[in-house]
Amino acid sequence: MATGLKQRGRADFNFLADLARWSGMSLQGAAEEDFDRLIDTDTLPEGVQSQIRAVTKVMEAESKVYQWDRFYTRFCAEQQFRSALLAYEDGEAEILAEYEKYADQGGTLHLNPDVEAPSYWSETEFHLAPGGWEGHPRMGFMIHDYVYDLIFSTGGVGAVRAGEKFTDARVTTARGGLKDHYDDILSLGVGTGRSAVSIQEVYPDARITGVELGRTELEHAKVVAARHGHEWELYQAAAENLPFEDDSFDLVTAFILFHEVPVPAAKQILAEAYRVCRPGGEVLIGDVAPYKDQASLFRCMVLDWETEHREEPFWRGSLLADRPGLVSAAGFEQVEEFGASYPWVTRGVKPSR
Amino acid sequence: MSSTDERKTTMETPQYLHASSTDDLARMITGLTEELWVLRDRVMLLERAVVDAGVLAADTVDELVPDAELGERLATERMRLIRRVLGAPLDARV
Ligand SMILES: C[S@@+](CC[C@H](N)C(=O)[O-])C[C@H]1O[C@@H](n2cnc3c(N)ncnc32)[C@H](O)[C@@H]1O
Repeated sequence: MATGLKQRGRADFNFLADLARWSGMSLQGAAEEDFDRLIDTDTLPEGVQSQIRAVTKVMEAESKVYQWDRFYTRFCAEQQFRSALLAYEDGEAEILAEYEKYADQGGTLHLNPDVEAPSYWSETEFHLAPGGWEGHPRMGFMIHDYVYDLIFSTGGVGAVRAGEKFTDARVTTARGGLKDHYDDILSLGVGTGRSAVSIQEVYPDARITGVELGRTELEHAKVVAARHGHEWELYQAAAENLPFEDDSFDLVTAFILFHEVPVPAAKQILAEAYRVCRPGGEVLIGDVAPYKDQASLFRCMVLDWETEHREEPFWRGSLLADRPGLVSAAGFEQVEEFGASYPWVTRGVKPSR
Repeated sequence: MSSTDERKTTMETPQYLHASSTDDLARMITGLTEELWVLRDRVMLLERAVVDAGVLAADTVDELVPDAELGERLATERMRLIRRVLGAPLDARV
């Protein structure tokens, strides 16, 4: 059982996870049937953005199941952090004891209290987390061990369909590299180390460095590394201003980072990714597939809802952006993209000198 | 949707409650919270009585991790509750 978890937390998370899964499967399934009945694709305006707006209006007005699905999805999103806070209070002693136990394991934390965090990051309460990524001294723990592991893990939330697993997308992305081995891998927006665990699983011998703005995320990433017996170098820094020399890594990865940053920041981040990447090295991005690569307009509509309703202000911009174009513009070559609705992988190679 | 709503709808579900019923819904939810508290108070007293009688240790329920069989029974009941209560609006679909 998760660290510090008691009966209240377990039962509460089980409920929210089942509610999200049930809504995602049963209600969304029925909503899609309503969609097919209510929407006449021949009369839709041009352009995916206008189409999404048009069909959203019809569905919000006329599909009762869609209304309830959206209500329950929003409810779970609001409630998960409140529930995590209560569960944290119940288990704090054990949680802090685990941090203590791993104080000397999991690698090295390079914290920088003076880090310049961009306002799009510090002023957004991503995913409706009260106070945002740093809204609680142990937000990293709560997000990782409780919200991700106990609610998101069975899907039905955001881009992960009901029944799908979040972690599968990370391993799929990590496997998207061109080589079987890398010496030095950089994980941008490493968060609590979830994608780094998948990278290390696929490339067991690689040295992993993570970059992240949030202190509590980094501190938890170190605990996660320790739990798996890994040693990572973890830096508190902005991905658009990396504290590394040119040509330092042979693989630069970013998993579900780009939908959380505005397009101008994405350009800066890719420029930095290019700078620190060795000639012949690769950049590997895993995220939600752009609207143009989604299987249906219904799916686009459901995904687009995240932008305004689950505090993902850069989601729509990111899913409309020309990701391979941005990667090429940064200087990478042989740019390719592949995957499914989630994850969608974009890869580029830094030309050898 | 109230009867004054001008949006066109293909939904044929008859409407029984007036918009002013929102206050009544809030009363019901507050009343339900009250009743839930009475129940939780009782569960806490029950736990205490069972502990005092030496039947269970103080943290038994908090620390009990359901085994696979109990886990499945809980999951079935949980899904029943979700479908029954939260699915009620859908059961009313025409
Ligand atoms: C959705 S999380 C993904 C975390 C991790 N990659 C994973 O797969 O679980 C995105 C992370 O990127 C971090 N982040 C966002 N913008 C950043 C930036 N400009 N520089 C560094 N980290 C950033 C956030 O704090 C957050 O932890």
